Amino acid sequence: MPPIIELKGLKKQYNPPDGVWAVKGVDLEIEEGEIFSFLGPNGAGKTTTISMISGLLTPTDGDAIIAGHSIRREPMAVKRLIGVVPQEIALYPTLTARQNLTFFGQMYGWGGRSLRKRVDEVLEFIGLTERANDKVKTFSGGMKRRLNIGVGLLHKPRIVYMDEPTVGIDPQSRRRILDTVKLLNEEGMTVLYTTHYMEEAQELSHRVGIIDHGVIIALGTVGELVQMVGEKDAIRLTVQEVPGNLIEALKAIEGVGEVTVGDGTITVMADRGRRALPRIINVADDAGVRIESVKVEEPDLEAVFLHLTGRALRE
Amino acid sequence: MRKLLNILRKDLYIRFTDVTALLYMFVTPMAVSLLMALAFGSFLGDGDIQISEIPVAVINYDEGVVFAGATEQANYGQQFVDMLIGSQGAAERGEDDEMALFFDRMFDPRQVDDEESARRMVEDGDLVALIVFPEDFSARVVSGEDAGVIEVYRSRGSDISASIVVSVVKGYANALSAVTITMDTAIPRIVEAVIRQNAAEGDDPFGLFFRTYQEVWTVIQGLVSRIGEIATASAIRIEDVGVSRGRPGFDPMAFLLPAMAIFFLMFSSTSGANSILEERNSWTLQRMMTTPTPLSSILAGKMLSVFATGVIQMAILIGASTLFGLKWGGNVVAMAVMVLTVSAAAGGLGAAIAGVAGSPERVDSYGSAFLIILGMLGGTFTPPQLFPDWLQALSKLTPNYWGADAFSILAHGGSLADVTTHVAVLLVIAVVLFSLGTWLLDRRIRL
Repeated sequence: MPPIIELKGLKKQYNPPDGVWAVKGVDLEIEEGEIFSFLGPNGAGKTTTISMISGLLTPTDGDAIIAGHSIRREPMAVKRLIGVVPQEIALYPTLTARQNLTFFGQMYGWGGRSLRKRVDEVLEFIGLTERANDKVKTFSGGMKRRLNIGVGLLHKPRIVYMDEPTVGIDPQSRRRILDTVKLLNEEGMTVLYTTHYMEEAQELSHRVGIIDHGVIIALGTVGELVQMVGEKDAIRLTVQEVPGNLIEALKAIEGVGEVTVGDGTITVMADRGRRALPRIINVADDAGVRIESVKVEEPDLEAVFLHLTGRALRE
Repeated sequence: MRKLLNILRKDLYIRFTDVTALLYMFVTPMAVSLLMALAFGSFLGDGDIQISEIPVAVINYDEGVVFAGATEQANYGQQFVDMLIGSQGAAERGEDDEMALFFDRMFDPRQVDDEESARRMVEDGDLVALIVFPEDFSARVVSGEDAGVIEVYRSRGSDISASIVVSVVKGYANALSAVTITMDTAIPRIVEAVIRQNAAEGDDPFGLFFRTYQEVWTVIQGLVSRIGEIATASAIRIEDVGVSRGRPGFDPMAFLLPAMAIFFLMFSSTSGANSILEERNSWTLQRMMTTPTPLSSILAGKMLSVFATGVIQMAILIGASTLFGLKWGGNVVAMAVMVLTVSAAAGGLGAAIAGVAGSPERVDSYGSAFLIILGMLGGTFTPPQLFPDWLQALSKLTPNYWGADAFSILAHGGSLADVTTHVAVLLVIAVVLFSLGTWLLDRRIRL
């Protein structure tokens, strides 16, 4: 079965011939039913890529095939299949939630009773039925975000692009949106999700593409990415005192790499940290060290990005 | 087409539920127009305001007349010319003759020879009236057999400026009938006769003077009773000729009212076109673009809503101001055509400003400044008829001028045929600016 989204050498240069290359060549295949996340810092090229495959920007080079349709040659066919949830709250603040949904539904060619029914369904899905007839300008940030998503789902798209849909909202609203994404995916929708929050990418995605400076620098499942860069787990021991021979004893354990001592803590970097933990505790016990607490930190996408670029995701 | 109407409906709803926009579109222009009307004292009137320097021309063909027994020629046509032209500069010279000061302030007269071109100037609105004294004017007045005719060729309509000219001419005619003719014809002849008679009788100089005075006074008293007869005998007839086609005279409110409405129409149309850029900033435009709707259709829908907003705004302004007693004219078809063309031109201008400016902030700052300059040039605050020639020429480059001028003509009873040039100019402006504006906006949006 061919991928539902296929990006082929997609490039975008603003203000050619001397302008900035926002996307320098992206090749990617996303399978139907997948949640795929683009993870990268601000300015990495995530939104530009989404804009090109939404038909908002014309690629400088390359093409995107969406469910068999070229974004260059058949943009209208592509637009019928996709729902777009932009990073911005793209709503009319002086219209009600229902009026916003109805207007954009009409722009997708819907009308009459079927549109009214669908608007009610979407309002219920995003939990805004009670506020359907209130003007959007009276909504909280989280409610606006939910309605922003609702507009993108109105015409029952096969694929939905969500560009940083949780920016600037409270944890409770974020939780609700992440649950919504999972629910949509369970119903069979393919989701292309962009974020610079590695926790979101880690929680939601079947696969992640790490993008930086307009190119994908790593691609795979979260596990594959972490293993790809070979990051060790960090085991942090909180202790009262550190005997002189302990450090060398810990380094002698198989799989243990660097050991550092801080203010009342010992950090031990180890492959498969959980497996090495009993031996580390035994060595510490033999050395007469009283351990007050232990914490194992597994490598995450943040660490992967740091490893690949030398920068933190949110720098 | 359905999507165009969706955009139109959405935009109209947003626009007409926005209190600020409503203030812009209706309340402010109505308030300003009414204030102007009140200030100029023509709230319910003809729309003429403080009048001065009325441009008027006079042609005197009068060959004059010489009375029997007198040596000097009387020329009543020339007398009027001297009075009118001679009064100019009376204020500067410090004269205290109230009539001369009035004429000085009220008229900008000129004596002309070319009757044909003078009539054309009246038709074109460059002159409020032309006053013509025929060759036999004085002779007819004196003979009393046929009425002397003064022709006042003036703009048609309720224009007060032209009416003032007619009134002044009538006043001169009455004065001429009642006093001047009496003095010029009767008294010299009577005095001459009495002196001759008394001299023949050989009276002493004092007695001669006394009797002459008494007899003359008796005769004058007798003549006074005839003055009314002389006046009512229509020794002088005013031929008041209204110009059936062409421009009305100087009627500031008839120009200022539509000019003010158009001025605010330009602002709301520019604001409407600017909403394209605002929607780009708020991403609702991009959201529309992610639907299966071509950008050209989206822009067409937006422009349609700008145009429709303009039409509704003008229609409501005209309707409301008519209720308040301000006059726009009665030719409904011509008015409708003008509302459509002015709204199209305003929409085109708005699109071009938005397209050139490129951002809502620049439209608000530079665009507003440009619209104010355009409004000033187009006669929003001062009728262009009061401008010097070079500024009048500049004024004709603005859609404001063509719109307000056309409405002014219609307010004076003009028909659609009288404003065809205006309609054509406004349509050309609309097409050119709409094309330019949408092309620029398309380029700015389609990256």
